[in-house]
Amino acid sequence: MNLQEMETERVRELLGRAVDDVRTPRGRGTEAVFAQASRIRWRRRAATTGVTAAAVAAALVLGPGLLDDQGRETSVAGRPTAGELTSRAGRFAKLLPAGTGRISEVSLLRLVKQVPKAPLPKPVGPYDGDYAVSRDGGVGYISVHLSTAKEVKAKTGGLGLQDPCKDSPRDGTVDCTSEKLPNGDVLGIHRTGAPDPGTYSYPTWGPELVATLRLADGGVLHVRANGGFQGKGQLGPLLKTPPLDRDQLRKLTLNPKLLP
Amino acid sequence: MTRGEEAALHAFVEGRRTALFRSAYLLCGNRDEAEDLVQTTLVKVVLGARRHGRLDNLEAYARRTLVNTFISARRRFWRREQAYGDVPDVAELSVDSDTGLVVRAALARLAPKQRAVLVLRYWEDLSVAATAQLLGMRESTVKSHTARGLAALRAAVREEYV
Repeated sequence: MNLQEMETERVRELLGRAVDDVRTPRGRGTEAVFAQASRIRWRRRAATTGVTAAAVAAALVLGPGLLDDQGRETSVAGRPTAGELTSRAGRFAKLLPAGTGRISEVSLLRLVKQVPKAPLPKPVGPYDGDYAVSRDGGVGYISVHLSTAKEVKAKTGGLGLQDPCKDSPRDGTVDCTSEKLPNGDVLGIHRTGAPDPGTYSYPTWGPELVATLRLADGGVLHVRANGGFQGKGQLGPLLKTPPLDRDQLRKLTLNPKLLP
Repeated sequence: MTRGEEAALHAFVEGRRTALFRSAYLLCGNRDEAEDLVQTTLVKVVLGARRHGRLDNLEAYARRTLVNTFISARRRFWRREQAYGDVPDVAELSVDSDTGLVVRAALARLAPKQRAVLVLRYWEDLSVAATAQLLGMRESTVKSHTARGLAALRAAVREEYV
């Protein structure tokens, strides 16, 4: 053994002593890793892919004047406003409280990822999609996405979703409140904390409230009220608050019109 | 990903957790933080493996993820380490547990990248070239980090131990 190898051995021994008296934690198991990975994957899809079906519908319902290839609004005059359009965005706007802002359909996937031709999933709920909310010079988003029980099981590794607060990713869930409804559904509403940039490679997002309604049949309705994002594809500055407050978000999420 | 590949991924996560925790502990010097770091690393490995549909070289992928996650977490200003006290310049090494304490204190004084270099070179037994590639730095930088790290260990631990 030469001098360098001896030194390597000695340093390795020292490092070994530094970890020798440390017990390996037994708190989290392998299943916790896979469950968290599944939830993150699910959440990413909900944030981007899962809610993009609205873009197809927007192109069909609202016509080419509203969305260009980038998913951006192109016609201010043609933009739907609350309570005055007959399009889906207009109908969705009627479900929102007065003063929410100007509503139009967009595709967050196309905006955020800058993928104009991204394949879009088949919507499950009648209002599944992303809606831009323009107000006070900023742009936020409301995303609606309904997952069937089968999808939920597949995306959570067969675990399903029981309590939206307990089963949500720890790193992104703040101030989560859970409410069991008389019909057996469970509603969870949380604020999204600042994401770990190492885990989430998203652009900077504005303040966000997320409602997760676990339906009695195992399906899940997600409604996100987000203050917008900064990065390529952004439609405007961030809103200072989410486009809906907790009560407004709760009321919207519990609106049966969001379900088929 | 096939059922067999999923099983292999489970086996990897199950089998590598302890080893990753020990490396993470050397990097962090804190049990809870090391546990979080390992959890984050393994989640990223699972997500990456599923995304790319590949299981080859998971070991290297996990090691790279662990170190890069540690360094990027330390880089963020609000988590910069603060020294709250001084460790004695010359440690008393009468028993092994004291040695471990002194080595951990010496590691804690190093910059995150220097610490990562020492752990990779001497704990993970990587070559200078492999360490440089994993950390995205030049080999000369790895050598200088190694020299500084060893010097810090020498300063903390009596000469005959290093």
